[in-house]
Order: sequence, then structure tokens, then C-alpha cells
Amino acid sequence: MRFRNICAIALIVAFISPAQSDFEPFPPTPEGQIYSNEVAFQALSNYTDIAWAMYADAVRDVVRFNMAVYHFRKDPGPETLQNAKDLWIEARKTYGKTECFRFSETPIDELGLEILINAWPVDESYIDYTRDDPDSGIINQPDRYPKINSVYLPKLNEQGGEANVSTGWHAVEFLLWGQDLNPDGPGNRLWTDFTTAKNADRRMAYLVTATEVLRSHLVTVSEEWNPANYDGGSGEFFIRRPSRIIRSIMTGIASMAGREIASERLAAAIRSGSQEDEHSCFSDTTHNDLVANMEGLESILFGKFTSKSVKVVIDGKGVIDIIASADKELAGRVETQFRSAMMHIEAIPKPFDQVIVAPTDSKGRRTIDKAISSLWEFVYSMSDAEEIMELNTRAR
Amino acid sequence: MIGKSVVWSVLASTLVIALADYRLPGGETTVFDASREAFTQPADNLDPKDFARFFSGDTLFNTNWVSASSVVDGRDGLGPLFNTRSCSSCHFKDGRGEPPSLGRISDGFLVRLSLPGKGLEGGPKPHPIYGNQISVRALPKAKPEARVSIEYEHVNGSYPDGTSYSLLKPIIKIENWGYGEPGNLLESARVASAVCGLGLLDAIADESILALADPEDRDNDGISGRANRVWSPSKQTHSIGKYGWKANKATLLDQAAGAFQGDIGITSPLFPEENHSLQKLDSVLYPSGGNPEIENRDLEDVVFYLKTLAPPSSRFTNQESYQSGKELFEIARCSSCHTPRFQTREDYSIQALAGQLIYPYTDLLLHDMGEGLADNRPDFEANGREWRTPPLWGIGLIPIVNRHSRLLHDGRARNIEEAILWHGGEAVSSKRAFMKLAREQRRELLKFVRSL
Repeated sequence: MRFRNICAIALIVAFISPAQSDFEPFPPTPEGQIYSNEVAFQALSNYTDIAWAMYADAVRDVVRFNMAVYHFRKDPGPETLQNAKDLWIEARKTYGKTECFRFSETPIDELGLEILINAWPVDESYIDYTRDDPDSGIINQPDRYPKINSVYLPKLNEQGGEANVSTGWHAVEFLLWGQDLNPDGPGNRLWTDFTTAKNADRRMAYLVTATEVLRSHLVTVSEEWNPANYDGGSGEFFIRRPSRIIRSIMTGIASMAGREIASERLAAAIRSGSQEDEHSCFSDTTHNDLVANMEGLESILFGKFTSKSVKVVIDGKGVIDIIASADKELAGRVETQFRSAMMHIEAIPKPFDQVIVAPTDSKGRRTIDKAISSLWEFVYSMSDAEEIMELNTRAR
Repeated sequence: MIGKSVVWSVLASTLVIALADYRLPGGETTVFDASREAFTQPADNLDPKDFARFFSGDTLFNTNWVSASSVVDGRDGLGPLFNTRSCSSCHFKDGRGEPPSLGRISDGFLVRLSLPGKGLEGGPKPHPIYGNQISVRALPKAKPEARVSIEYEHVNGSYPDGTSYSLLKPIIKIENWGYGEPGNLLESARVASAVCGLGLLDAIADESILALADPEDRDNDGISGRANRVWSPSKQTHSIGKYGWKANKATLLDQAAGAFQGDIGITSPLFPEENHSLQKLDSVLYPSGGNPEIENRDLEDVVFYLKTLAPPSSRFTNQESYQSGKELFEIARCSSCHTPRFQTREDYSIQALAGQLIYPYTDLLLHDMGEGLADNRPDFEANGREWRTPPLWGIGLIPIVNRHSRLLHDGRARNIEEAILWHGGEAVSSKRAFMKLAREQRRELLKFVRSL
């Protein structure tokens, strides 16, 4: 296995364990190291197993979604569009879990694909018409954008501004749902936009291409974790000091919980009070994103994951066990705080955009406030853990 | 007891100096990122409670503004005349703009205008129709103010060791005036600067800047250095200019509100009028996106965002490469104006930025840069040959963030070497010193600057 083997190699190389006749699966914990190497080794290899299982799930669902889009192209109608939308929601939920691997020096960021897969917020008028401008967007400007294909579309991403998103989940979401002009529900694009409306053929080509591009990018990320794929070549980017890998993973968890979920998704959204400052604004499924993100974090923290098909059940050591090997009491606190944050996030009422505009003393808003503060408490404890484990010394 | 506190304060000050690290241009705010996102990170030591404001500002910075008739409430009011639709289209990834390539309308590049003479409060005198910059875009049914294109002339030269070089001298062409011939104008082209580290510059006390000024060149080093004194609409008084290519803005609020008005056509409490006097264009065809179009709180979030964007760490391979580069930097006396180190104010409003030892490599003063770079358009007390020393932190990451390496006020220099070769006026002796260096040493100096 790519990451597992490399971790083993890295651990052995790093500590140069004395030559022994017996096979030593992990080097002994060196003098003065606070956390246990045995636990760290097991947790890291479990982490890679979870990553591969989670991304494999995400790929499976995005392929199903892609098939639904093909079905819609072959036989356009309200049912096939609805089917595509339903499968987008499903695939998005599965993908949402994998966001726990962001900010951790893992393939999703190292390959530079996050920005093509998940860029947000989207300027609708960069892609298609809006209520204000019937001629806007790549779709409606064939003179300026003659080609819509899988080579060209990713090149247009973030060209001339960061909201100029041309690919990824949210671009596809906009194509399926259209602008959310409806204060009480999601966007409501007509299926005829893809058949009889102006530039319908280009719109359909865009939808299909963007879906295929999304699928192929996800496959690329997923393959980096594929245990059958280990050739010692590109996997080299995992040859790092084990302490650095652990630190990256812990920093990643903290960044996802604090900067991404608590600040960018929750706090900034209620601060602006704009209904469209939510993550999945066209489909009104932001709530799913939040919950899926937390489920992903839960998996790598506690080392447990069950694939959607229930064929893969992983139950091993997680990041929490590495922390516990250093400080049991602190690990307990981290766990309690995480569970509490997760509970509050699950309690945020749906749809999220209604909560954004609700009065500050409403129940929904208070739940969000609680979610934010409990997430931050969790993040603080994670950084305490980094300190106690002496991981927080920056390699300069 | 007294003895103890003295010991502590001595200890504390040694600690500050011990912590001073050339690898941390932003002190404790420095972020460790050398990727495309290098300029987009919040200060490393920022209080997490402030992240909501930071990301709110971030969102506004990236938002594409739409016309006022749009359904998108709160992000409308674009134009009717404008240069671009979002902050991030010019400062892409909080980075730097470049001059437009042939036949394209620019993002990250604009032309300032004024009439000869002084305007209100001593600033440039705006043109009665075109205001103080050319809007190259317009909403449907309106005409852009003009079309701007650039042609280049080659300026050839060679080093004393015989190595030749060729610089590009831009010739700005403005055609197709949309609202009548403008008459006699002063023009000056500008590219958008990177916006990280601005809060740390804001936190440098005026006295620290003035202490470096030497308007009469009393020390006879050939370098004067003047602070610009400009009108600040937010403070309603004259104040030292710190931002902009001619240090013509006193505060980041002035700068940001001015850019919203001039570049995107968004009015704010500070600038309630659009940047042109085509009232008839406004009122009938183009409803306002609310008055003001950006609310104070949003504007303050953007300013907070700008202040807390941190500079990235330097990227020297080792201590030796830093030392040898630094020696050359000092031998050529680059450091006379590109002042390496400052300490920020202890009482700065954002705690994370207060009392930091920083390495911006600028004195924030105006210097005569010679005829070659002169725009001959005075701006408050800056004359037509003077420019503010730009900070150098992060300069080597521009190619990664923005995929170009164009430098100087109009982006004419294609790399750091060309930017140095354009130095004239007060900086001419530094340029000559650079040119006299052996090729290997020149390379080392350039590598040093790239690593800052």
C-alpha cells in the first residue's frame, strides 16, 4: 500500500532501528517522544485505508451521477433531470466526507485539483444567463468561447477573477438547478433549457463536459490513494518525517473545522446575512455539506469508516489514539468537544439559507452560534495536543 | 521589585530581537505557503474570533459585482462605467496585475487621468467628464470611456562586462473616446499591486517613516526621500500617504473605497458619487444599487481583510545564501530606499499586527526615479518623477501566484533584473553598482530579491 508502505519506510529510516533478524513492523518509540510509535503507525496506515475507501465511494457515486447526466442527455425530460439532481445530491454527500483530507498535504491539494473540483462561490453569469442578463456566460457567447470541451473548460476556471468558476461541483450544481431566485426553496431551472431554449445544445454540452471533468478529476485524486497503484514513483511525496505527517493531518483537521467550517461557511455566512452566501446555494443543500464534512472528520479522528455498500468496514486506530498515547485526558476532551460540535451542526435547521436570514435570537441562529463556538473549542484542544506531542515546532 | 521588572523588560526586548528573523518578513503574522495561495492567507497569529470578518472581507473581495437591476441584493451597483467587476480580477489571488496583451481589455491595469494644475485639497485635478481614470468597460447601452492599448519600444543597452539587454518602453495609446475629445490631459498607467502585508505597513508609525525622510539630502548620499502629504477623506485631514504607486492614499479605507468607486463603480459612504459626471447616464438608464452601494460594514470587512492578509515567509536555501545576497544588496545600496526592517506600533488596533519586527524592504517614501520612469503627473506632493518605494516581500512568488513577473508601476519590466535596470534619478548609483557587479554576483543579488 502506497501510504502505508511509505510510512513504514519513513518510520524505519527516520529512526534507524537496529538491525534485527525478526521483522519489526514499526520502529520502537524513541527516547523522549511523547506519543507512541506503535499507535502512530497503526493510525497512519488506517488513515490511508480510510482515504482510499472514502475516495472510492466518492468516485462510485460521481460515476452514478455521470450516468444520470448521460441518461438526461439521451432522454431529456423533467424526470431524468430530477434523477440527475438527486444523484448529484447523493454524490455530493459522499464527496463531502473526503474534504477531511484537505489542508493536510494530501493529493487533493498537492495535485492542485481542489480548486477545479470544489471552487466556490460561483458567479453564475460567468457560466450561463442570469435573470438580469439573458446573454451572459460562456454558454451564451459562442463567439468568445467557441469550444466547450474537457480541455478548454478547466482552463477557463478562475480566469479573470476568483468567482469566475467554470468547473466543479458548484458549476454543475448551477447548471442543474439554475439561480436560486426562490426565497423558500432551491433554484428551479427548466429541463427545456437543455432542449429548446437558446443555446440549449451548448448548455447540454457544458453540463455533460463539466460532469465528466469532475469525474475524471476525482478519479485522479482517488487513484493517488489506490493501494494497487503503488509503484514507488509519484508516491514519493509521502516520504516525510512521520511527525510531519501527523502534524499535517492534525493541522488539516483543525483547519477544516475552524477556518473552513466555523469561519468561512458558518460565521461569514451569518455575518453577511445574504441568502446566497451559503456553500451549495443553488440546490439549498448546504446542510448536507456541513454534516458530511463532520462525518469525514469523525472518521479520521476515530479511525472508523463504513463504505456506502457496507462492503468495507474499517475500525482501527485514529488520530485520537495517537493523542491518547500522549495524553489520555486531553484525548478525552478532544473527543467530547468534537461530539458536541457535531451534535450542534446536525441540529442546524434546513434549509441553511433560511437560517442565515433569520433573526439573531432565533433558535436556528443560536444553534449556529453554538456550533461555531464548540468547533473552536475543539480546534484549540487540537492545537494543545499538537503542543503536548511536540509537533508544533515548525520546520523552517 | 523594580530590579525584577527591569530584568523582565530587558529580557523581553532581547527576546523580541532574538525572535527577529529575516525568514519571517511579517514577524509572527508570517504564513508558510509558497503555492498559488501564498498571498491569500490570514495572519498566522490572527485571533480565530476575527476569522469571520476576514472571510467576509475575502468573499467581498472575490465577489463579481452585478448591475443594480439585478436580483442579487447587497452585491449590486456595478458601473455604469467600470474597469472591472471584482477586486480579485485585478488583484488575482491577492496578487499583482499585468499590462494587457495585444487586443485585450485589461484586468489589473488602468490609466489615471487628470488636468494640469491642482484639484481639491491639493490632489490631481479630475477631468470634468472622464474623472480621474479611464473606465474601459461599461454596462450594456453605455459606452466605455475609451480604448486603451499599449505598444512597446525596445531600449537596448549592455552591462560593463558586455552582456546586452533589451528593455520595453511602453507607449500608451488611448483611442475611441466615448464622450468627446478630452483635451489636454495628464495620463499615468498603473498595474494592481499585491495586497498582502498592507496592515503591517499600516502599523508602521508615521514617525518611523518620517525619521527616514531626508528631503534636502542633508547626508549627501544622493538620496532624498520625501513623505507624500495627502488628503484623507476618511480622516478629513491631510496625512502622510503610504499606499499607491505615488503614496497618494493615507489609509487603507481611502484606498479601498477609492478603488470600489473608481474601478468597479461602487459608491460608498466615503465616495457617494460615481467617478464621472455623466449624470444623465446614471439616473435614467441605470438605477443605483442603493445609496451607498457598499455599506460601511462591508467596506470595513474588506479593509480588515486587506490588513490581516499576511506576507509569506522568505525562501532562502540557507543562512549563507541570505548573507551573501544581503551583502550585495547593501553594497549596491539598494537598502537605502528598500529599508529592510521596521517595528510596528505597539498600540496598533489589530493585536496580531502590533509590535512586530517586519521586513518589508521599503521606506514608504517618494524618490525621484529619473526621466525614464517619470509619468509627469503630480499627485499631491509627489512630482512627476517621483515614485514610492514599493515593498519587496513576496516579490519572488508573483510568478507562482499570478503567472507573470511584470514589475514597476505600469508593468513594463518583465523581471526583477529589468526593474532594476529601469531605476534612475536618485537610484542611478545603485543601478550602476548593480551593473558593475560580476555576472555571478548579479545573479546572486537577483536570487536574494526573489527569495525575500
